[in-house]
Amino acid sequence: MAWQHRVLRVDLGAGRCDIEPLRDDWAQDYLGQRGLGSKYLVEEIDPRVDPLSPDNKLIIATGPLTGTSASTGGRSSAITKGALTGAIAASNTGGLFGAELKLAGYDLLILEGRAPAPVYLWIRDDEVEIRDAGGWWGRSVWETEPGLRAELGEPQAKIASIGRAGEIGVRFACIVNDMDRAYGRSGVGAVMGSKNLKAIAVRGSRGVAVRDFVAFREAVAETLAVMQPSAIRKRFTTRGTHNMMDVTHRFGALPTRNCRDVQFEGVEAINADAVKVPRRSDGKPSLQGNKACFACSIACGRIATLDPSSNYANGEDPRGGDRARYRQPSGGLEYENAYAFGPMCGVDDLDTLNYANFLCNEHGMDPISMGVSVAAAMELFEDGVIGVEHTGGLELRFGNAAALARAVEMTAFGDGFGADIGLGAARLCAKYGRPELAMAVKGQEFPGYDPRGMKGMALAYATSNRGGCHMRARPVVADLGGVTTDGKVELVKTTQDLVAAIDSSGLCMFANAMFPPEHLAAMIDAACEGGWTLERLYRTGERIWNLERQFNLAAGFTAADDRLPERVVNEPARGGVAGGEVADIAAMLADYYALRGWDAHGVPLEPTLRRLGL
Amino acid sequence: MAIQISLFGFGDERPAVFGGGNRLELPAPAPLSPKELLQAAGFGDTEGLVLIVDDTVIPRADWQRPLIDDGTAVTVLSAFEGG
Repeated sequence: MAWQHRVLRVDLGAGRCDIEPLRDDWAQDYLGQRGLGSKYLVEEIDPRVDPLSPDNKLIIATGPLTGTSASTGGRSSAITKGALTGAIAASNTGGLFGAELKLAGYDLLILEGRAPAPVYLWIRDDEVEIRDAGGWWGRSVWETEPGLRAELGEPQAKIASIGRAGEIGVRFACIVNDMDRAYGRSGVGAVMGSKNLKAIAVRGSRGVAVRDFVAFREAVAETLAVMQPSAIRKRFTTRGTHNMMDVTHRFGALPTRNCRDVQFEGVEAINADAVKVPRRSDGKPSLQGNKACFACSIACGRIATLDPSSNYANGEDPRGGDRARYRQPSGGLEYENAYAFGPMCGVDDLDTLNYANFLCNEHGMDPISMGVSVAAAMELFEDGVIGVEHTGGLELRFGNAAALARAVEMTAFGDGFGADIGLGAARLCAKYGRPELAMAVKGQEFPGYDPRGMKGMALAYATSNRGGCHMRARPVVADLGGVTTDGKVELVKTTQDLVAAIDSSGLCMFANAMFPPEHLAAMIDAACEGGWTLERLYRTGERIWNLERQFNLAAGFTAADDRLPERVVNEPARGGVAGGEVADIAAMLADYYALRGWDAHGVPLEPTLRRLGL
Repeated sequence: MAIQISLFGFGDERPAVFGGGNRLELPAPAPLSPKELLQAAGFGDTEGLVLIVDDTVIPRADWQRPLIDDGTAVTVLSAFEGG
């Protein structure tokens, strides 16, 4: 129970759709979603495969709690070999799509091969069709979602699709669902585009059964009783993740101007308070309200509009149509997109940040990688490595809001220098001979926590299996509680294991900040066969972490890839609590390898693998 | 003289004594511990709070010690594991 015990396998090259039984033994070892999807991927592809070749696979995986009444139980993951990184990718989304896939009766959707021409997938419980998407190829996410619902005559269909960025292989293209939620990181959208798969539409009506309904209902209610009064839950609801911008700025951990600085003088123009200030033009704030994902009682999602008087929302779009569509509400600024387009690019214009983010929603790009890649381009420009002859006349300097907006537009369509930005920061900087300017780990761009003063985050970035990421461990509160490496190795390792389990459950990582993990174990145990304790969840998470590590090692990664950019290692942070700090992780890394049961080269030792059943 | 308190990352969740702003001057006749200071400033729940004095974080292990004198400027951050 809780699992649907079914996998939908779609061979896009052969045009075949088959329903097969889930490997229940694997579900017992890897739970679901990120863990179970990774197990299937590891078993089914050559780790050295080109991510954009037909031999790579893309797996959409739900967790056992996806589609249930557990709060935040709407999560699903896209697992593949990442187009941005070449590492194993597991990109997690909310919204409604994942729950609908589960309600249609599937734990996993495995997409393999490459369709000979653009197609989309239509799943209605057991009825599965591969349909011609020729008319939708080249269209935006915002056009495709309502268009497919109309074409299918199914207004309740939930849709995940790629925009132009995924079609043309922007390395950090994402898969957007429900208009503004996304399987965001590592370039999973480029993989989908390489398969000539434009969209997946799904409608489910099967329901999700749990092992012990009464126990499950009680476990869910007890968890909610802890979550709802939590001060952190309230802050997520009222301020969203955007709240962190003031905090990292004051601390000296807000990456600014491609990590030249750690505090941003324009923070008050773009922070969580700024989005609530009424505009002069229409008297309304940028932030229009909250949006909740399936079964979520937090509703941290932000819905925003552009200033209706802004140039971004008026006049004709050179690509056709008018810009009135940008006056409609869409997913708004949260911490990461605000950081990446704001401080990282030195831009303090709120409307430009919203517009850049809207473009990412519309055309399917990861705003973190997008913003950090533009920041890298800005530094290349300011250093004279590139000039207007490269950028098509754009003065790509830090703080130039118009240039940021134009760069995002160009990237979405691969226009001119936009094609270079679409390579991602690491490939872009390598192409122009300055690889050290890419603020990335394993090819994936940093999130909004400068690792110089945040010692746990430094280790978490370096060791993340999917490249630079803030969502693979939970060191933020401890890091802000003191600039020290004390206890951080254990914290990072332990929370990496816990996060891997949560990412495999069907619940949202944010909820974990609001209730003790024992509640997660209780809900999974009530929902699933097998006897799930917290200790077993940690062991499952550790197994998943080591499985991912083994994939990356087989793909060619080594300990040399567990490193941070030279800038944060050598250039001390300027200002704040973190002033004077650098991110020296050598000692922590050695301790981390030992704690994980790996050798000095970061390779899991035989007893470790045996203990975990790998 | 008084203890100057500045808030970062609270929004409308700040204690009522701050009156909707992010700054407060709190009279303190004697040195206060961080815990006493937070209580006096109306913080019931201290989960995720970070105290900074002179760009140095006061470790939680020291929150019982009378470290904060009259005239000190204290920064309070509200941190959580978020996105």
